[in-house]
Amino acid sequence: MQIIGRLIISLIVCLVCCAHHLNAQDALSRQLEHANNMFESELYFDAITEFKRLLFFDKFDVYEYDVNYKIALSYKYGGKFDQSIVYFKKAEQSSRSDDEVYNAKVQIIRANILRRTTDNALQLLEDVNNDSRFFNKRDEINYWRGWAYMLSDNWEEAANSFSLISYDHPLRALAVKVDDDKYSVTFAKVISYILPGFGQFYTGHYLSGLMSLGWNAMLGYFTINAFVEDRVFDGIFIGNLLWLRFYRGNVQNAEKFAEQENVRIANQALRYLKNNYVGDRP
Amino acid sequence: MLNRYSSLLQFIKLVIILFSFSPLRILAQENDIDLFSPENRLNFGNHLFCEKDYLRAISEYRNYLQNSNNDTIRFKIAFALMEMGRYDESMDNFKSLFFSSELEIPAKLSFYKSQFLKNDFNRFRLKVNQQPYVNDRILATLGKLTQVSYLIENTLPDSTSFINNFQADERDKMLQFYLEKKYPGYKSESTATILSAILPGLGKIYADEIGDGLTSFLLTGVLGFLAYNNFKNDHPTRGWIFSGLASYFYAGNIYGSAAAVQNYNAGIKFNFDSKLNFYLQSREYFIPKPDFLCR
Repeated sequence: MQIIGRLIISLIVCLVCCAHHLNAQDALSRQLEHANNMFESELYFDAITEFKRLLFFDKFDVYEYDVNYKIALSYKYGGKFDQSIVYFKKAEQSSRSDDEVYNAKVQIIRANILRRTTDNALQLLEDVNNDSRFFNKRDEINYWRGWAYMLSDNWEEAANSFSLISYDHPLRALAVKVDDDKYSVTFAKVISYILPGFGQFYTGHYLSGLMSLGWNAMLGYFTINAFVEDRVFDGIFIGNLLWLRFYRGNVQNAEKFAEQENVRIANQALRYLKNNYVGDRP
Repeated sequence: MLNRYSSLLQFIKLVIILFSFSPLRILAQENDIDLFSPENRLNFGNHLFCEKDYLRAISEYRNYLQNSNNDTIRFKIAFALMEMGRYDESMDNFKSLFFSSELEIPAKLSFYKSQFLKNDFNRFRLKVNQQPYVNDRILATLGKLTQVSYLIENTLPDSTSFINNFQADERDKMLQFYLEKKYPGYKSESTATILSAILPGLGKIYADEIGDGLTSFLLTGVLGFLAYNNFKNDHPTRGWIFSGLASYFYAGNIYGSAAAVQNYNAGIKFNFDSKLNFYLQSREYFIPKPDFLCR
């Protein structure tokens, strides 16, 4: 009888406490719904305010992870990547499971990719990769590594990362294509050193290549001719002040054209990723 | 047995009554929790203010003020606007606390601080001198800011009147700033130009660009010599070409020397401004934050 009595008392205490707790959360769950509506309506500034309000009144930290995560997402969608990372870190600290830790970490990585702090993103990816809890997430880790490389204009490494997921991965094909299409800046410079103007031909700038070739041929002739006619000073100064200037300019010009073309090719690919790619993006 | 059973029942009744009264009262309160009540808006606003999320804090405070009047909150709004760099709005808000408020002194000081931070020092000094809001309690602090405004601009007062405005622990540092401003070690553009005109490259050496100076000297000298040599050996065309080149380098060297001095002087000014700004920020512009603000 005594045991039954104690049980009844415990039950009452539990019920009262739980009811108290649950009711306290009523207002908060309504607030969560309100903030989520703002978030869904893409009113990110207001959504952040309402999520922060919820966080402030959530004395039992029931919503801590979700709300910090949503605040971080709102900041991210508003382009405030630094703030976004701060809140993803808070979400990570309040996570209740490995999946939540992973999601927060990946979001931090994605924000780093977007704000072009690629070294940070790669370091964090390496940390996640070495974490035994996320052994089954290797494909996703390689996926974001590929994105980090793509947005830092390292298409070859991006292709390598995507090929670790699958040789037929569509982003691997894109990265390989961009890498193949891109001009070799070193080759453009070297060929211009050997044959002035040919670096420009290589990058498709034929008129500029012809001009460069013409200037260098003419000034080279003047310089050599001056030496042949024993006009050493003329030779040195035409060579130094004019020919070498044009020769150096030709190399720099070839380098600039190759870089410009590479930027154009990379931008074309990035535009495709932004407008047409249907998979996950940072 | 019956007795024990009835006493147990009585105990259970007591527990139920106890728990049914007090927690339910709490429960009712919690059920009614209104996150948007003025009091809760105020608490949330204070939290945002301390997080330096000023824009959202202002919004909460303004909502709170719709229901009650609170000078501290008005001050916080004005302060938040000042921190956000919205100085005109901030000054207007501080003005509302000038009369019949316990916060008159901090509001007036912060008002002048906003004016000072706008970097419109003439207007700042005008407002201080016309004294529409100045009284003895804030005059000393405003005196300091006025002297600093002279320091930032190029109109230094007499050193005694400058230094007398500061307290003993501030005087050494401010005197150091004063002397640095008065004798900044600027170099003269005219001197650099004349030196470069007399001897190519000398102006750049004067401006601490020794490598560039030597290069200028060599290039202009060799081109000049080539021009001279070609004229001397009856090669007038080449002589004119080298003369043109020598003139071009000579003119470039003079212009470059003046530019080098400008860079040198800009570096000195930048260093001075950075040091002064750092000092002023560390001293909170001689206007300590009121205690009710987050620290």
